[in-house]
Amino acid sequence: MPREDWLLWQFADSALPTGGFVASSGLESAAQTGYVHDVASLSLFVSSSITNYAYSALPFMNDAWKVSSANIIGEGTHEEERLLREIMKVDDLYDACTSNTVAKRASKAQGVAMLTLFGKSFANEDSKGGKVLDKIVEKFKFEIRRGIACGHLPVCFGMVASCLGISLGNLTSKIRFDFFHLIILKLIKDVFAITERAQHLFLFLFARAILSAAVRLNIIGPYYSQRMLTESQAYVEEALTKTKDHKSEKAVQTSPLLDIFQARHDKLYSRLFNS
Amino acid sequence: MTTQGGSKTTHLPPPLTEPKPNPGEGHIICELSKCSVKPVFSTYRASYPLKFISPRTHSPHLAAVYLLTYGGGLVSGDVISVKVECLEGVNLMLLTQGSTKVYKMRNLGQQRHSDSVVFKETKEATIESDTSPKTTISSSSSITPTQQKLYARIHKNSLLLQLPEPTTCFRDSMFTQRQTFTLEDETASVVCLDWFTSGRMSRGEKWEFLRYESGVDILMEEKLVFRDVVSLVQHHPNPNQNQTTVSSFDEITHNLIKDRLEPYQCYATCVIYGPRVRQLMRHVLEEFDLIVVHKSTRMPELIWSASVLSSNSSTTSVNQSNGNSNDGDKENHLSGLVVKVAGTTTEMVRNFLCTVVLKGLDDIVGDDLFTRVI
Repeated sequence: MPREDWLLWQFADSALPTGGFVASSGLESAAQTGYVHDVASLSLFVSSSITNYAYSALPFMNDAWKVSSANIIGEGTHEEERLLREIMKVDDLYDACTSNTVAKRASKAQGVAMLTLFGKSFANEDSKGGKVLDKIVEKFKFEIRRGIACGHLPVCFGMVASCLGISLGNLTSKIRFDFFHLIILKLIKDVFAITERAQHLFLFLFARAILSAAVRLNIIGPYYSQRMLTESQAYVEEALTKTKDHKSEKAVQTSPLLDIFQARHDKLYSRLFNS
Repeated sequence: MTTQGGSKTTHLPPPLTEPKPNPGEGHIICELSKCSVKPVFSTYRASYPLKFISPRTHSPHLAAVYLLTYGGGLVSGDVISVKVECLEGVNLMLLTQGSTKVYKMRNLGQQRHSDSVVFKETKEATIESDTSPKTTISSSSSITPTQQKLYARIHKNSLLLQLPEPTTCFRDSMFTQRQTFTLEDETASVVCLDWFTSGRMSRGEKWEFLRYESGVDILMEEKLVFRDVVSLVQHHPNPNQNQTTVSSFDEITHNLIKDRLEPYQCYATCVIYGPRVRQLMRHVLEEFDLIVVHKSTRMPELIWSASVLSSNSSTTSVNQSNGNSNDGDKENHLSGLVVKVAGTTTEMVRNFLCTVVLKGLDDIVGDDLFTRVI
C-alpha cells in the first residue's frame, strides 16, 4: 500500500488533532439567524460554502503547495530564505483578502494547529538531517510566533501537504542529474497528482467540518450528515473543475451573504463554536 | 446606449498640450490652490462615453465630481477607466447620478443560433457611436463585457469619498469592476462604497444578469492592506461550453446566484480607511457592539456586519467579543473598517448607509451635499 494513501486516511480521520471542530464556518450564525432551518436550506448553505471556499481559499493552498514543492531543485540557506519569503507573500495576501474578523481568527488558529500537528507527528525527528522544507516550516512557525506572519490555514495546509507529498516523490539527486528532462516531466506529473489529492482533501475537510457542526447544532442527525457528505463530493468536483488552476491573485468570494453571517458570529447570544 | 445630442466634449476643454484620452477614459487631478483652501482641478478631462460634471459645493474644503455616462448606462464593450489623484490636503468626493445601469450583452440571441463562438459586435458599436472619432470600443471580435476601472492615488492628509449609486445589472448583462486606492501614507483617508442590486426589480427581474464582478483594493504605500472581490457568475448548464461563448439567461436552468443571495435584493460593501474618517468607524463599531443575535426563525429584513482592519493585523487579534478591551489599545489598531450590508430593498440599505455608516460625513461634506449623497 502506498504511504500516501495511508497518510490521506490519517488526515481524513476525525481523530486528527487540528482543532477544526471548534469552527462551524458561519453555520451557527446562519442557523440562529433563521437562514438554515431545514435540510434544503442546509444543503444550499453547504454547497454555497464549498464553492465559496474553493474560489476564495483554495487558490492560496495551490500557491503555497507550488512554492513549497519548488524546493526539490534548490537547496541551501539562501534558497530557504527565498522560499520562506514566497510563503509569507501568499500568507500576507490571504490576510489582506480575509477582512472578516471571525474568518481571519479561525483561519489563523487552524493554520497554526496544522503546523503544530506536522511538527509533532510527521516532521523528521532528526532535525539536523531534516529536509529543506521541514526547516522552512520551522522558520515559518517562528515568524508566526514573532507576529511577523499570520499562518493562515490554506497556506499552512498547502505547505504540510507538500512536505508529506515530497516524501512520496522518491526523487534522488542522482537520477535528477542523469535524466534531468525526464525527471522534470515526472515531477510535473507527480505535482499534479498530489495537488489534486491535496485539493480534494482540503475541500473534503472543509465540508466535513460544516456537516459535523450541523450534527452538533442539531440541524440534522449523524446518518443524514453522512448522506450529505456523500452528496458534497459533487459540489467539490464541480468547484474544482473551475478553480483547480486558480492562483491566489485570482481569488474571489462567490457568496457575500455567507461572509456577513460569519462576521456576525461573535454577536450570537449563545454559541457552541468559535466561528 | 443612446447618443442623444451626443456632444463628446468634456466639461472643461482639455489643455492643448495634453493628448486626448481613449474612449471612456478620464483623468482628474485635484489640488489645493495657492490662494484658497478650496481644492481645484489641475487636470480634468473625460472622453466619450464618460463625462464629468463638477457641482458647486458649499463646504469650503471640498470638491465634488459626478461621473456620468451618456445615456445613463453602460453597454457591452464599454470600458470606463478613471484615474484620480488627490494631492496633499484635498477633500474630493466622487458621485454618480442615479444607479449605474448595465445593459444586456448584445447579439446573445443571434449567437445562440449561429455556429460561431465569437461575438461580432464591433460593427454595431461603430454605427451606434458614430459621433465618436474613436470607436474601437471592442478592438477584438471576442466578447467584451462592460468594464469599469478606477485608480485613485491619495496623498498626505487627503480624503477621497467614492460614493456612487448602486450598480444595477440588467438581464443578460456582464459587468466587471476594479477599484484601486493607493494611500501615500498613514495620513491619507478613503471611503469607498461598492453596492449592487438584483436588477430591475420593478419588472420582476431578479438576479438575471450573466456576470457581476467587483473588487476593491486598498494599498498603503506599496503594500496591499485590503482586498475584497465579489464574483457572481451564472454558469451555463452545458459544461462543454467554453469561455468565449455566452448564452442568454433563458438557457440557465437553475439560478444559483438567486439561490445564494436571496432573500436579499441589495448588497453593499463600504470600506472606511484612514485617520480623517476614524469618527465614522467609531460610530459604526458602537452600533455593531449593540447587536445581540437571538435564535430566530425569521430572517431580518436587513443584516450587516463590521470588521476592523488593523494596520498590523498579524501582531494583534482584535477580539470583538471582549467588550472591555482597552480603548486606547483598540484605537491604535483601528486603521480601517469594512461594513457589509444586505437588505431586502435598496431603500432599506440606503437608509442604513446614511444613518449608520456615513453618519458624521456631513461635517466634512456639508449639509447641502450630504442630502444628495447616495
